[in-house]
Amino acid sequence: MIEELRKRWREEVWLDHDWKFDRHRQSSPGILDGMWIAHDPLFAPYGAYLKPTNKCTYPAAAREKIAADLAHDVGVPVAPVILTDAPPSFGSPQKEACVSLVTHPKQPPYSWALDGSMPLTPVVELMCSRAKEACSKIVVFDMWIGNYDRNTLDNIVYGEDEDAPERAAFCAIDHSSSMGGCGRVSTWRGDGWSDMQRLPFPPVLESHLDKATMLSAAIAIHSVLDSEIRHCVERIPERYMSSAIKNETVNGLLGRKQLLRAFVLQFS
Amino acid sequence: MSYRYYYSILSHQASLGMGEPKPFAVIVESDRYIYATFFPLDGDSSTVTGQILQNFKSILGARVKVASAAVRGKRGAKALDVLRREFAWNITASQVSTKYAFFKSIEQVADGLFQKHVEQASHASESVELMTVHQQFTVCFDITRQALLAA
Repeated sequence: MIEELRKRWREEVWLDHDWKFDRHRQSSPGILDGMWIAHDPLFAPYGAYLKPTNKCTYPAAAREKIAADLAHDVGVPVAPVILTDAPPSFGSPQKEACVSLVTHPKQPPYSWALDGSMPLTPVVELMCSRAKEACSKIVVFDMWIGNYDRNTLDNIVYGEDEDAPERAAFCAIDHSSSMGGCGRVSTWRGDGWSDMQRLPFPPVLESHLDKATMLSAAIAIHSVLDSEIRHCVERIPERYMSSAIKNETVNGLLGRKQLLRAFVLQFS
Repeated sequence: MSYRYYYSILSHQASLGMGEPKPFAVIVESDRYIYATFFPLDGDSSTVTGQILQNFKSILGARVKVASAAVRGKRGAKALDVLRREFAWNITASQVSTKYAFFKSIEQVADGLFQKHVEQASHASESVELMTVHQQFTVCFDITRQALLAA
């Protein structure tokens, strides 16, 4: 079911659906606010998160969508995202929103296993080995899209499914402030995109990074066709992202793609 | 004996795809202790989630130590605020609330809160015929500097 949604949401851009909010879950107040979506057998079997639900001055929803689609294409684990209109009942001052899918029925506080609060059982060891591959890919993806919002553990989740143990996986979420930041003016404007920097990453996950996997991820990103990247950005409806910002975004993604491999090689 | 206590209610949802979170624990913080009282939850050892539930008492102790160390020396900061942020998905923690109680120990305060927020909710969600007898666990952590250093 999730794999089917992942595929469909990659193909589609926008979904018209009467989302219902989850009255049992309290949203974490953040820069975009947002609301939990109740589980929905067709579109959100384990729930989802809709954002922004405040007046956002930058194209947060569009950036979430572009990041999820690009990640899908380069094999980086990111939760599927679809653009949507926030239902009036959500009380959002703007309609333009996105929904990020929860992909597993169980999402444990995995850092407890990584920092030694839990005994090192085979299940925990397996999770640690998965952390190595997933986090190494995610950190390179973040470098590409300029994602500064990975400074806490909250934006990487570990999902488990008792009925399908092989589905256990790490998954990155929350890329709304990538590709130009969350200011009124994009930091990628002009040649601002060319400022490649070492980005924040949770210390407890740093020790799981593997340089060979990182290099493979950089090569996978480098091999994505320019036309595919352009398509991911340009298909976003104008009301979610203006043409001018789409141009800046495409320029940045194409330019940084060329710089990425050398940047990863310097990484230590 | 403290008169002001901070507390948070923990709720558990076995699957994010069904049901709703059910209260199962209360954690209370005073100026000296963190006291938790909870119903044990079933955990399947084939998942990290299940192992957390199986070892909840000892893991909670480790997390209390981390949270207490994080607020050490920070005036007015509460370990409970740090702790509650770690519960985000299947286990969630309510906003930290304040309880004023005179001439009551932290155990008594926790027990009262547990009855009000956990036991009553648990009974309300079960029919009389299906009501199970829950075994209640309690655990107390001394969060003073000396105790943390000695641990």
